Amino acid sequence: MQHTDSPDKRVAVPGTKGSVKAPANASAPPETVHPTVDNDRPSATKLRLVGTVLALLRMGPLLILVILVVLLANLSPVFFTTLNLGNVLVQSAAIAILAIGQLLVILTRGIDLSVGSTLALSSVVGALVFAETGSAFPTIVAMLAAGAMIGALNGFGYVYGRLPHPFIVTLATLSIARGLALGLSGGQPISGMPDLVRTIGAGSATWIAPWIPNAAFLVAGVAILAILLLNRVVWGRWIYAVGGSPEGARRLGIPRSKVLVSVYILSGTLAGVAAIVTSGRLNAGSPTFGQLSELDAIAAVVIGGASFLGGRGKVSHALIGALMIGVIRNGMNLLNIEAFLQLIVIGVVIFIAVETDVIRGQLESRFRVLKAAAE
Amino acid sequence: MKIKKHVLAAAAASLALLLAACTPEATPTESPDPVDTGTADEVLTIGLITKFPVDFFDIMQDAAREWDENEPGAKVIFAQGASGTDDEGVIAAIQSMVAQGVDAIAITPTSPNVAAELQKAVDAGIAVVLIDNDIPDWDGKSALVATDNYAGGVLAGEWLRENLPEGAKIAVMAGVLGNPSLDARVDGMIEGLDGWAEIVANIATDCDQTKGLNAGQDILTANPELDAIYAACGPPLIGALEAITAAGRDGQLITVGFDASPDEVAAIIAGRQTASIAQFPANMGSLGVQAAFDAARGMSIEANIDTGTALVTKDNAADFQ
Repeated sequence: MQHTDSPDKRVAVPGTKGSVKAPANASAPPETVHPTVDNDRPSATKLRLVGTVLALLRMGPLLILVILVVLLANLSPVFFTTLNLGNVLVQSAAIAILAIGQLLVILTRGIDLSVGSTLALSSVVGALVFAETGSAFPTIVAMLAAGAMIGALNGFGYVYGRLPHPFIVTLATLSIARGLALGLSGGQPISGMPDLVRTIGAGSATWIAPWIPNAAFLVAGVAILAILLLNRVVWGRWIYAVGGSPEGARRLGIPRSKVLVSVYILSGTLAGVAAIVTSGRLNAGSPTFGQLSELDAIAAVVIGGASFLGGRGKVSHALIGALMIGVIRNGMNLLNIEAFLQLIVIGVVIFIAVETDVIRGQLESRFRVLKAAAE
Repeated sequence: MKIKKHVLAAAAASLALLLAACTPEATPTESPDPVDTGTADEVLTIGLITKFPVDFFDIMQDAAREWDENEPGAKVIFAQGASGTDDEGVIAAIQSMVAQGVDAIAITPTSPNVAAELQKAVDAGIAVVLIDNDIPDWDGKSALVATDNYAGGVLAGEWLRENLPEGAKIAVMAGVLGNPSLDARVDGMIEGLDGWAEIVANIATDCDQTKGLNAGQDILTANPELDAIYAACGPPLIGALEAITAAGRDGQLITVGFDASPDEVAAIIAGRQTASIAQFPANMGSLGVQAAFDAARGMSIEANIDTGTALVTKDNAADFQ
């Protein structure tokens, strides 16, 4: 309706078309109503304008991140130093890894609420295995296995246990994993992690640039694998298909159940990877790690413009979402801003980011209509 | 129906695991003592509700259990939430205690949100004693049995004043926003410090180790010449110690925590942390159920019962292991 109204105002040909006619136009392309000669030039202008706005909005989360960074760099002299950028990267690493796992799940129209608790369980299991064996390899294997195990419980519980929504099964494992972590650790943090885990979580890339934390390379590695999976592997396309068009996926004979189970196992395993980062940073496993970090991960994915209805979302955008949360928290700490404001700001950013995406979506369809009109 | 069963099974399994692993004696164990002491004909039942299965509350429960064994006129039963913020779990525990017909409840409230349920218990004639955390605006309680957190904070502040040069820079790691006892630890410290040092940062950490590490990194980045860190709870300070190490300033800062958790005591002995304020959860357990018992018997009790604080440094850390 709007897209037929405003071009008219710009052309300033009063009387040629009343607003009463507009509803009739809404579904049909404008050219069927107007002679092409009349409409050609303004449509082209409009097209360029909408195109420019769209180009900006398509950068969406990245644009907001850049604005935030510029703002904070102006407010705090230390924000844009290599030391602090390293801090931001290492502080966002665990959220970023959890967000990539969460994205895979959300792409299938699912949700994984258990990742924070899984991170805690995985860290505790790792600390216990290390205390027993004193060796890095079994520790890391145990941490990943603990994550994969909770992920498998989620996947099989949802698909083969026929629970109505992944919200329920992952809510159950949120509780189970946290309970196991508390039980296994006796409610206390367990100090001591292998040097390799310490290096991954707390070390930095002294061989290139000492300010870049190793955890950032781990995040990059996980992200590249996820991008390859989603774009270069058939299984990855199926992940999109299962969420974007369940009916279509079924008709195409895509093994929906296996795809679903796989994303939950991947998400759980990535919670184990995030646990390696967190445990490495703190040199401990603790049942209190990862409290509410499932919400950070979901927020990162949503800020990154992924659709809760599945089938739409990008790894790079989820990373930007995670960085945005990290940047806000870091900047507020540097500026010594009261904590309640941090909560409000993060909420506002989620709101703005998603609203931007909604507006982008509307403009995309308007852009297509205008483009069709111009041709 | 089937779905419900699955969820219930999962919930039951997780609960069973928790109970099995953490509170093996959570069920009432006291057998009624056949010896009549003459002071009371009937045995009064006291419910002790604690937050969640960690050392701090285990010590409290153990002390209450020991008190119970020496007090034939009382029987203590136990319940626990699932986390430090599990209001729902604690409310359910209160309801179940009331249903079991207890004469008094001693509880470590998770937040002021549980006050309405406690008021119902009071209305039903059950005496309620708060342990560890106060609910300031709720006057239904018979007593508050707790660490005087403000006094503990003052203790830390005065010690910092003695051990820091005038005008030194100190960062504060606050606890959970809106938690009165954690806020009191910060307010008390500021009172004890009395303007001696400059507070360059005051960041809420939710008593979370990871947030403490992040805050530590950020504070040290913004204030490279920082002299001291004071934390309203143990975990964020333990996290911040990692940031201090990473900044290459191991042992150069004065670090004071609160709670003297096993982690903190180990760090103090290792020379990584300077000091902590210890609480006495055992006193909370025994004095808490004693106060509840006395209130249920209609005796008059003090409104505020202090369970004490002490400064832990390398000199006396071994006593707190």
